[in-house]
Amino acid sequence: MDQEQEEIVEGRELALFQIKDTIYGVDTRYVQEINQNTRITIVHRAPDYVRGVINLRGEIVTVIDLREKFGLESVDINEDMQVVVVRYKEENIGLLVDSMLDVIAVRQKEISPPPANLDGTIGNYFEGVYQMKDDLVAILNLNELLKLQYTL
Amino acid sequence: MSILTDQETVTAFIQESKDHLDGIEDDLLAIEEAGSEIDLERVNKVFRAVHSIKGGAGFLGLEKVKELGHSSENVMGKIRSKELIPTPAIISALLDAVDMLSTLINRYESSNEADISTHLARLGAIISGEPVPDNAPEADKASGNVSGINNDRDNTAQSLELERFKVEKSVVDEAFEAGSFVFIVEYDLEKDIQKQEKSVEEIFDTLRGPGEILGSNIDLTLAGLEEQISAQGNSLFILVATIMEKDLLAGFSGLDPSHIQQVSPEDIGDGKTCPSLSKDARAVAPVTQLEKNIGPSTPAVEQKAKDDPMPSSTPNASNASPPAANRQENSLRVNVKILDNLMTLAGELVLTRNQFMQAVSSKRIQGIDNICQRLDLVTSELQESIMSTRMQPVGNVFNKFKRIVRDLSQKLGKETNLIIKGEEVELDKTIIEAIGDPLTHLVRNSVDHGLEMPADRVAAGKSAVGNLRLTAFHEGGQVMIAIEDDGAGINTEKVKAKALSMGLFDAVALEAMNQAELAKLIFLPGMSTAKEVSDVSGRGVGMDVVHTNISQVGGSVDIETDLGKGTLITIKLPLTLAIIPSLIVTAQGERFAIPQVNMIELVRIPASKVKDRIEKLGGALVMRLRGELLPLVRLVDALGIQEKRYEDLKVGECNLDRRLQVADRRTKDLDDQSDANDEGEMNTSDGERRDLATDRRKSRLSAYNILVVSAGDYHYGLIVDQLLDSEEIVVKPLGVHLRDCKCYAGATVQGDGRVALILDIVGISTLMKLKNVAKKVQEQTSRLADKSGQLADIQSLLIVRNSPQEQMAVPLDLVSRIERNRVDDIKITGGRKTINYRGGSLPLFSVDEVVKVSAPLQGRATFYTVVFMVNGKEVGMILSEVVDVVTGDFQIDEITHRQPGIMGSTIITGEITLLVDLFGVVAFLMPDWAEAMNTHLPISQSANIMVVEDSPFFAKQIIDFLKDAGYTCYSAADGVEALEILAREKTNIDLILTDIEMPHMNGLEMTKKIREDKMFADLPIIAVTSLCGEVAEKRGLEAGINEYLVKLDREKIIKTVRKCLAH
Repeated sequence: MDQEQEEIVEGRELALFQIKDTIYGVDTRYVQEINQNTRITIVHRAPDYVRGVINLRGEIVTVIDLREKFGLESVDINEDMQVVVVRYKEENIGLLVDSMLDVIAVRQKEISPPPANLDGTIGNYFEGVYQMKDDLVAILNLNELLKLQYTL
Repeated sequence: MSILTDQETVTAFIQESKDHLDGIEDDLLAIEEAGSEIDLERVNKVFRAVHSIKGGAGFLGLEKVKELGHSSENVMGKIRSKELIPTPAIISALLDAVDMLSTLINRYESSNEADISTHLARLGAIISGEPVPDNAPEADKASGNVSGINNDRDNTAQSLELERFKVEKSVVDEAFEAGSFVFIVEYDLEKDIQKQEKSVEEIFDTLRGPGEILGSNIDLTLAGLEEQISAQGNSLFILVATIMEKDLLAGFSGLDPSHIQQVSPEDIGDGKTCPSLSKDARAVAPVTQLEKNIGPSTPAVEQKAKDDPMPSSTPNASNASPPAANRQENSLRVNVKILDNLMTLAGELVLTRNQFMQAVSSKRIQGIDNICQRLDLVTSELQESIMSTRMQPVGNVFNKFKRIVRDLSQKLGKETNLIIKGEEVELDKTIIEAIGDPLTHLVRNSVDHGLEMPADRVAAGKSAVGNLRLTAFHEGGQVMIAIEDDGAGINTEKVKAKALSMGLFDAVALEAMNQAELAKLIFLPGMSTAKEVSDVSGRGVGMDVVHTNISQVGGSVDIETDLGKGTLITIKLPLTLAIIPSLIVTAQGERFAIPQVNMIELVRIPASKVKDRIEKLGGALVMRLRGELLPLVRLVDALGIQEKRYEDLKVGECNLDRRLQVADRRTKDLDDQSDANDEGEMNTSDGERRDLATDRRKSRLSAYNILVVSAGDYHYGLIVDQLLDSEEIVVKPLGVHLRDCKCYAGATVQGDGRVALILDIVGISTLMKLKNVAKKVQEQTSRLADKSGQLADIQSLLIVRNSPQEQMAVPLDLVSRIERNRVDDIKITGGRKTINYRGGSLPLFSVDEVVKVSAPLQGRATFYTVVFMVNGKEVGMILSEVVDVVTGDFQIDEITHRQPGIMGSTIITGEITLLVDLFGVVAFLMPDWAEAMNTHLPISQSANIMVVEDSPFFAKQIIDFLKDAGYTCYSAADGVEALEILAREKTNIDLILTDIEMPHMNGLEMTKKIREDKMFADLPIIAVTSLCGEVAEKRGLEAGINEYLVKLDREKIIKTVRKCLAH
């Protein structure tokens, strides 16, 4: 009984997606939906990491190019790409990912802190890693990832 | 009493109290204004409002609110009974108390810890008739005051005995037996009698009303009542029997309750002594402590609170809407009618959807047309209704200024008469919220810096009371708010000095600015001319912030000032922000929306004209538009869009030319598409698209599409690739990550579901630093305008054709608009052609009816109508083709082709072009109209007019129609000649019509010379020119020209001449 309770408390669901060769996970609590609408309108003079905006049923949603965020090279939109819409500070924000993988349940204690070699700004973007069978899942820390880089 | 019963009750109480408090302020101000003529209804209203708040607060255990409410209520009670004349000081105290109540209620959780002693002391002082500090007391000042009062009381109060009142014990006992309360009432000779300008007799009379006077410490039968009192240590003690409770008596007598001591039968049991008042007074010495006691422990108050027919908050509580912490900010009052209407429309929408679904599922196509139409209708109505729920009267903002102006005037020792008009004008909620602060700032500024001190005003020959006028009204689909004061105006010399010292402009540029331009400089950052940053105007909002805030909601600010006479600030605001009309444009295939409010006109420059019209000025592109230079910016540059096809190209001049080539090659397919767009636009016949429409025949490839837009105080041109359609767009906000992008005002979703960004015209100009260019351009223009003769006499002509072989032109300035119509729509009635237009009929004429030229309409399905005004009536000219607009200095031959309907001819693009006389054609065909045109002019008042014009053609035109109108004309070819004639004829000349650009001496110089002579100071001088533009006009008016008119606009010229002569 106690054991079960703990599992419920500690259990988390991660939505997994891939960018380049790495698998990332984002807590499903934040995920509003996964959208295949990649008709992104470019916003010129926006920060580099902003890929553009999409229309999400009438709402204008900013799409973040995670490749830019992770210091990878941005690529043209292809049909595998999807937008993970997450809720952050009362606003829906889209994360552009190379492809969606799966949703898995994990336990909190199975999550270990991010490896020390992931330092610096990019290191802050992750709250921890989860070891899947063959792969390592980097779990996003949305607060750090979506924090405004320069504020007025 | 338990604090906070349940959240719902509290919310209901807060909501209700706020409603009450909102109303109170206005009422108090009105009560103050009425002064001694007390409007009982209003006083009662305030009384009731405060009473409800007090009751509710008592119920919820909000002690401080209750106490303050109670004291305020007492003061109101005294005003109600006309014992207290509401002086500004009293109203101030009440207003401050109301503010405090509002604060307390907003933070009701902690309200019981709040310190309200100063407020209570002030109100207490009013009740007891003590002098009230004029201004809101600073805490320490007030407490000093209060302790003073207490010292007084300690000194004066003395022990009393029953015989003091010269009253028999039996009399007092009788009173008790009759069920009366017995009180000792203490009046201070100075404070309560002399200062209140009451007589001792009056006091006795007052008390006799509700009760019976048992005795007093003076002898009424003896003379010198006041002396008697002063002999008694300045205190008048009266023993009163009444059925009133202590509180009421206090209110009634105008005394602080602490001055009233209730006597119980036991107190006089031995018939000897009364409880000493001094003891009582000492016990309550610090007023704060006293006031704390009043609340819960004074029986009378407690009694009252209990007796209250449980405040109206209780019934409300049960049906109150769900609570929200800050519902005031997030909720909106909507007229029930609108809501009902919305319900009906929603019903309609459901119905239409059902029909639609049925039609689709049964695959019946026939009905769908109807359903769509209906859907369209319902949607528009729904949209309109929903929009109207967002509309709020601007009075919501205006009304708070009554208080602000009043408080501020009092503080500054000024007298201000605030006149508010147009409170009912409605604006979108967002805009109302956005303009609150800027308006407050402007109003404060007007009172603080604008209006002078009464003495200064009188010295300046004005009334001591300053006038501040706040007006809202509709104009041209926008709302205008005007703030006008008759104060000192802005000293533009100071502004100039400041701008110079800040290095914003150099001396030359500043000298070139006129008053209005200089005044406008105060909207620049750091340009506050107020020497001291007072707490009045220096609330962290500078005029530049005012400007920015208003620009942000799509508005603009204008300022006019007259030193010594006053200042007028005009704010132009869009009605709504949520749905705005806009134009969709493209740049590199991407779509953008530009709000119509920002747009002035569309200009299309054909490739062949690019060299003439577009120049470089210090590295920046500028365009020549009707004699003025405009800064230009390419949208692709502004947004940093990479030109995908030629990314390797360097930016700059060569790029421009290349781009044209690019356009040549690639625009073929796009053209077909945009042709279709043009058709659509023609039907909507929007005047703004004239240029687009007129030019479209001529090499639309490789032309420049330029949007002339307004960035507040200057205009600039935005070069875009394509103009698509005008659309009503729904404005949606951009996410937080994009808030630093100054180029966008938001985004909108287009019909195809894609997002289009809305351009922020002001933001782009800031980003591209166009202000500097605009400044340079203005200098340049001024310089050009200075050099007489440099700028030629520029005319804009609309080139039209009926057949490919014959080119004709009409002066563009006379054209109201151009439409495209179908030949089938022409109706021929009584031999005259008309076409239905907006419910009326538009008479149509054709040049070939008068002159031997080819007829239009041959083998055509559509034709163009050039609409112009004759005699205040719209008239259309039928033409086959509208070719172009050309601007230039044309040599006009007025002899060769001269005939009725033709003014003359000129050579344009190598072709002989007939200049059509629009009025002439109408006059020839409809002689009656022409007569009507002239007969309403009073020929009797014939006058001598000198026409100064270097071009014989124009001179002849003007002189001809002036003569037609019955005036005698003198003609001069330039300023020198005009001065000669004037020197000869002197006052024989009643009016001068002059061109500006002339050889030898131009119109401006001539006017200046003429004005130098006192004899001609009032001689009307009207400029008739093609050199129209704001800068030119400003210079003209500065030189002493009375009016500025466009050449060849016969009607307007005649009208203006008549107007000037009538003066």
